[in-house]
Amino acid sequence: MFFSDVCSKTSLLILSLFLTHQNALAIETTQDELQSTSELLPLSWEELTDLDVSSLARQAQSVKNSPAAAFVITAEDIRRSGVTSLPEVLRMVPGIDVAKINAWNWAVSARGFNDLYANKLQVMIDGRSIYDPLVSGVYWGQHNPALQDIERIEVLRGPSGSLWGANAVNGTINIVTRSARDTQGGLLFGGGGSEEQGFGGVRYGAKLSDSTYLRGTLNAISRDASVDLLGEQDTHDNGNAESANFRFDSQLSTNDQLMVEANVSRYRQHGYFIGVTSPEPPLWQNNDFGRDGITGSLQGSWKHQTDNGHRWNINTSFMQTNWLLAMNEMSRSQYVVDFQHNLPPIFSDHQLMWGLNYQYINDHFDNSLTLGFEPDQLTQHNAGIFLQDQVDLLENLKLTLGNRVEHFTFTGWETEPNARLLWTPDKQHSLWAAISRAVVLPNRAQHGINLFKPIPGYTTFFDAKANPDMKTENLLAYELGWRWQIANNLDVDTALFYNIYDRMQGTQFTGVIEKDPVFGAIRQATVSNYRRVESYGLEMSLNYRVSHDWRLQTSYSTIHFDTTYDKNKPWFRDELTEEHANPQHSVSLRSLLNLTDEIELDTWGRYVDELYIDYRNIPAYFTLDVRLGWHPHKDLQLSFSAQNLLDNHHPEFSDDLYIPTASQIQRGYLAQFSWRF
Amino acid sequence: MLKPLLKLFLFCVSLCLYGQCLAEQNDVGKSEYQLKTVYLLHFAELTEWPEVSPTSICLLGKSPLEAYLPALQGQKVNNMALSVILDQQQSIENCQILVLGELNLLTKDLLQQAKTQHILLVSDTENFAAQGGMIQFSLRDNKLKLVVNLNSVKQANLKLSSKLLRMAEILE
Repeated sequence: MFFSDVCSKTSLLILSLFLTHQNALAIETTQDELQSTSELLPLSWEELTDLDVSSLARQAQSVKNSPAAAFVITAEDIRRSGVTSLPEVLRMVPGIDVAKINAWNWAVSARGFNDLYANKLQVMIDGRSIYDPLVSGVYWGQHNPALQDIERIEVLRGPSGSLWGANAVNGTINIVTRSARDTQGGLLFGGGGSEEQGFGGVRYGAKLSDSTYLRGTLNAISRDASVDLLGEQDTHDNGNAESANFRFDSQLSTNDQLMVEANVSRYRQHGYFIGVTSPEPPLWQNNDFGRDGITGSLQGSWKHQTDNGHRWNINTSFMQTNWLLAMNEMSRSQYVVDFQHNLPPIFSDHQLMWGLNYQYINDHFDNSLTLGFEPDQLTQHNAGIFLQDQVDLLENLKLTLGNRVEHFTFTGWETEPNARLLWTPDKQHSLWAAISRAVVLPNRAQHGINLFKPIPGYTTFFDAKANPDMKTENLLAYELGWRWQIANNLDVDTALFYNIYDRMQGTQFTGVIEKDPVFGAIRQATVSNYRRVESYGLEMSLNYRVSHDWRLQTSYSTIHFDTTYDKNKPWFRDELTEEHANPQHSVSLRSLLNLTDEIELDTWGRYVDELYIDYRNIPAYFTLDVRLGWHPHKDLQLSFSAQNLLDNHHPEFSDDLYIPTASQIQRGYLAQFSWRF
Repeated sequence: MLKPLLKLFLFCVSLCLYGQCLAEQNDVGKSEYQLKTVYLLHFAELTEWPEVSPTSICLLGKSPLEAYLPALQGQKVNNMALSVILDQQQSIENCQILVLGELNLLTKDLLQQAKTQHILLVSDTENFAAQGGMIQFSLRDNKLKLVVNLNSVKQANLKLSSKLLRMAEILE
């Protein structure tokens, strides 16, 4: 009797506790609802009407609650920037260096280490990496998607190797295209101007059934050549590109989502090489040093959610890349499969996820004496496994632990662990700290390049030898961040970092042949893990929505380097390249203003500190872009923009070795239209 | 002896789980009403009334919006504070925007009153715009779309901004 009495009393107690708990929950939820609604109030009309009902909660939370330096570029940001290429859009992100080398070549990197072949940035389109394994960088000129198809660009600065694998070292950029569901009907767009000579495209989306959608986009672009350093001669870097993209989205059932995307693009970029002509075969002309290429990809993703809270995600892609240079030809196939599994919460405070990935790369080169990659045919198999756990230590303190272990054809086993802590003392503040390790894989070029070319203006030849023993560059990163929501319409995001890079690449002269019977003098150079670099810096961004019709966004970044290297060695290229090729300070300030309900006036000013590359000074520059937008009709949008208004031309970067004819970036005028039908 | 306790425990657990499940399902619904609330603030800015006065947004009938609308209280529209009136008994004369929770509230009398007193009628019920309402929210392909009955708007002497109309499907 006694026991049953205790039992019934206990059960009553549990029940009443449970009910009061539920009540307390209900009140708190209403407060939260009002709070989260208030956070949306400063959004402009365009931003608001672009929001997706189901992903709203997820998106709003993702940046605010991530224990990392994150930044999101929205479709509205892209449209109002008036620019026409991906790297130009990235100029608004703090901590991202973007420098235009010529019409089709860019140097883009995160947290320093900028170069034509900057090797520490992972870039993906809908989860498919467009990072090129030949140079461990992105050939930005080869990727010219219609910017109208992009829904948002998520930028993470700092290492995220445990989630995205090797090469996600200084940053990760994920370009998310619009779902076929969001691009129904037709869109015709185009424009032309002094630098962007002409571009245009058409998109059409159709609903195949209640939950199945398909769209296709065709677009083409043609660019004018830049001017040389004296501002007089054309540098023959004009060219054109065309691409076709198809995306299919289907909600197969309430628990299954399928996406298939296909892409083909072709480009022809002219190049110029003064001083290299041959009257005998191969009969080279100055104008022959361009790049001609075609890339194609097919990718699919299947998301499955079980009723008890498991989430599975399979991503797979096939990519074919072919290009043709005067001195080499490449054909490469890549196949990637990724699997990810998110478990339902365990013990109510652990969120576990794990995954597997496999990558197959097979390339083939048609080598010449000038440029070769050995062996001329190579297959790489890379595979990895990762595990991440997010633990709620306290209600406002989250710990994330993750690690990825990968095996690579070039370097064997690698590991990329990280630990992150996020503390949200109240609704206004969140602070985070992280320690991570990441690795940069040696690339195919470092392992197998054979570059033999005359040094322009000298009777000397240059011979770059590969290093098959090249190891990974290793990073140990310490980061701190603070997000402060001063008011619903005003926030400041700050990140600090201290990075130690061990086994950094460097190139030294390793030999001289003074009297070669055919070529005269030959100087040989080899790349290896010669140096150690430390970097530290600060990034800030401020977002202020003055009203629904006026938004200000500003960002500031600063970075400094300490390099350790052997001063007695003969260095080829600058041994202090990090210090010299990255701006110490850069600032971006954007204003997005609606003058009336039909007219928009957007201005974008930037400052980039001076650089010193290839023994040449590239002065600091201020620049200003202005865009005037007009909606004369419900479905028609016109805009006129002026870019780089403050000077006739200025250089932004240089790469003497691969692009011997240096270019300057000119002031440009551009008119654009877009018509929905 | 322990059986009743076990049963109760199981009951509690299942109730908890059920509650959690509901909460997850509600997330989509929640953001839908958050969005509608923010749209209403923009409607106040994008509508031109014949006379300038502080804006009041009123709710008539049952709607989940009731929980979210208080977020708009005191927001500045043309430098005047906006007020939200949820009291069903209050007369609608003082409303500039009237949100209807149910379609059957859209009576001839109400339409007449909206015309003479320049009230913007908004609802998320189906066929609202076709039956004379002014702005109807409609959930299509996971996005909020607007259906506007331009005749009703004009008859009430109201003017909607081209910015709003750009995003809307227009019934004429």
